[in-house]
Amino acid sequence: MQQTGRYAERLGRLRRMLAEQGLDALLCYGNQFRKDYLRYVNPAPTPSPYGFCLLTPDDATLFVEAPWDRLPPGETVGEVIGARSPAEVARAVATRARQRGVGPRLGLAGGEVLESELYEALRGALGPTELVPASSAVMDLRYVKDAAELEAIRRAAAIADQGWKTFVATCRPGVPQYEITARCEGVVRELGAEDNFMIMSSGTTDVYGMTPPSSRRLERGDNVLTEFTPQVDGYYAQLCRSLTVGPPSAEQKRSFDIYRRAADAAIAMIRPGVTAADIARAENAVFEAEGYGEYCTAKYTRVRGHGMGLHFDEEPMIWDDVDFPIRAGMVLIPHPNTYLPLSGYMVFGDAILVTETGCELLTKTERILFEAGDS
Amino acid sequence: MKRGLIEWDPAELPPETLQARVGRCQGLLRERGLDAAVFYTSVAQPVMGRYLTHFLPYWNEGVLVLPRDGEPLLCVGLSNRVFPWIKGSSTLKEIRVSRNLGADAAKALAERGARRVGLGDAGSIPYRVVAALRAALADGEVVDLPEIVQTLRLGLDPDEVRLRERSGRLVADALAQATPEPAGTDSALAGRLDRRLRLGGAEDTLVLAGPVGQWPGLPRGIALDGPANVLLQVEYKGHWVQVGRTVGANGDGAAWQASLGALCRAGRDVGEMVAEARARHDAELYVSRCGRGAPFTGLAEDARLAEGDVLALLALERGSGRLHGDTYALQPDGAKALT
Repeated sequence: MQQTGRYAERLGRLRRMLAEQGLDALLCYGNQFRKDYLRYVNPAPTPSPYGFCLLTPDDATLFVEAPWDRLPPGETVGEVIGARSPAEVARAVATRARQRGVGPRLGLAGGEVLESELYEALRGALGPTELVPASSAVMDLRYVKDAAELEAIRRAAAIADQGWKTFVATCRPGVPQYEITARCEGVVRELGAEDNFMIMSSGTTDVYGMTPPSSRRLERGDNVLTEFTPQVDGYYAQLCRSLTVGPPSAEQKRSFDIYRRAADAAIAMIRPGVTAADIARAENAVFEAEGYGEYCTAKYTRVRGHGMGLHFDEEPMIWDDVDFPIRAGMVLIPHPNTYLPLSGYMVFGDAILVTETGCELLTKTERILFEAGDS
Repeated sequence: MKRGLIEWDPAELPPETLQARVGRCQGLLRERGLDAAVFYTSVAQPVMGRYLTHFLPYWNEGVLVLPRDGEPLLCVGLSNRVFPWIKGSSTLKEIRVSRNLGADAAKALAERGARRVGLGDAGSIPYRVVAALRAALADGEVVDLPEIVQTLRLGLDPDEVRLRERSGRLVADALAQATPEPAGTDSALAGRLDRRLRLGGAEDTLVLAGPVGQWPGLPRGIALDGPANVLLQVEYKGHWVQVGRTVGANGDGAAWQASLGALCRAGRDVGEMVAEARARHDAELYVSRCGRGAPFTGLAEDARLAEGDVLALLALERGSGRLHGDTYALQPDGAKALT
């Protein structure tokens, strides 16, 4: 069996899972939409638009579109195989699986985004070997982060803090939204982020959510908000903050105070053993006490927070009917982001690590309603 | 995920153009005796949704239902709170929140009385969605429409060509700023390029960088001392181009662009192009095509080029280690460089 340095523990857990699930090997897939399962077993980034990694009890092989097979894989991977087209890549996977004697049960993680061309090519070439859905079993291992994962998330959180400074510095009356994201994107790349999930919005009570940036130019009095989510070594950390262009109005101040207290309530609630629903209810109670309970419903908000890791929007979703028990070592962002008639949509939240006794804030940006220059 | 400018400017791409595309596609359905077609759309597979309606998912996924007559409808995993944004950045009028794309698309098809349904480029749709669709349409008939993007011959569409050329100009502008700085890193170079591209209105980018002599990779803070191989994939309003260059060195980019373009001819096998690039230019060549998968999908050596293809060629010179690459529309009079 390979020695794989800092990933040895992860591979050990994966292989124990395979044994417990009665699987002979694990095949992880990723494409431009989601590469998180692929990245879990091949920690190096690949620019290939899609790829597979086959993890057997003895070794791991990465399959990508050529020429990206020439780039170094993660240290977990013993061999990289490239081919020119998707169908050829899929057939190469099946060939290797047969050579390794994989069967009769091959686990498939990331199959939710696997295109049918690749699936059919795999199925045709695998013969009687069954492709068994394994995303849930792998996700169960991904919830609790190991030391290497936490190191990456901490670096991503530090870049989010730096990126937010650029966001604040760029927000001025007359600046188009897309210039703000362009300048932030440049900075986070220079700091070493490989990707960044970022949506934003600007305006006042007409703002009901966040989208990619438009050409709308900021105006004095705007509420400007973003989810800022750099990715480092595959791992995302998210920071949610809002600012006003110029001094905040009394309504914006009052509104922010509600979000801030809701986020504080979530942080006070988080510890091992509570559920995602407990966290959501703690947030929602603050809104309800102010008479704004209806703004905690799906009509106005998607979730009250979520997990984070190799995907920027990982399970568990923090919602008042999700009875998912929180564990030490999980990374979450509780964010009471929603619409309020006082201010329009506003966001506020920090990436946190669940500890044995509570939680630790990973993002260090001041927890205030920021004010950007108005000239 | 996408975080650049996503906006529909009707002056740039008039609604009549998009309506004409829908009409052309509906004509294909009539020719084949189909009541409707279904097209999948996501960050990884956005082409048909964008081509027909200008809808560009910045994340999440959806299914576009196109009846033989009438307006297209979108079932999508995004929240209904962003429907105003979707309607403002596309021609879509009817949008439904969906947690089960296959089942919800089947429901919309049933409401329209569609029994014979085409699956647009079924190979590009996640198999779970195809399975759910087939199960939900068990009483009807499901017909594959393979390679529908190739059928539409995007490389002959003047608006496709014009907007990809706009992407190409963004790349040229960014590369003009791209000299590696002394003691710089691949991350610093990527940051400068990315910022420039997005300030110019790029919706999405992929910037790869590495030393001369190597295929470029995702930046990881590695020192770049001197010239560098850079690959840019850049999207403007859904129109991707790919360019490979060696920056920070005097180059013969125009000559290479012409040489690679000369390799492209309708009816030619990719294998022949690869062999010619090796023999005449001592270069390793990879060819990909706009269609299944974004931004481009690699072609096997037995794949054959066709008029109307949009192609991206990428070559690494064995001797000098320099990177060359451009995007082309394969037109009746040869390959037109878009970058």
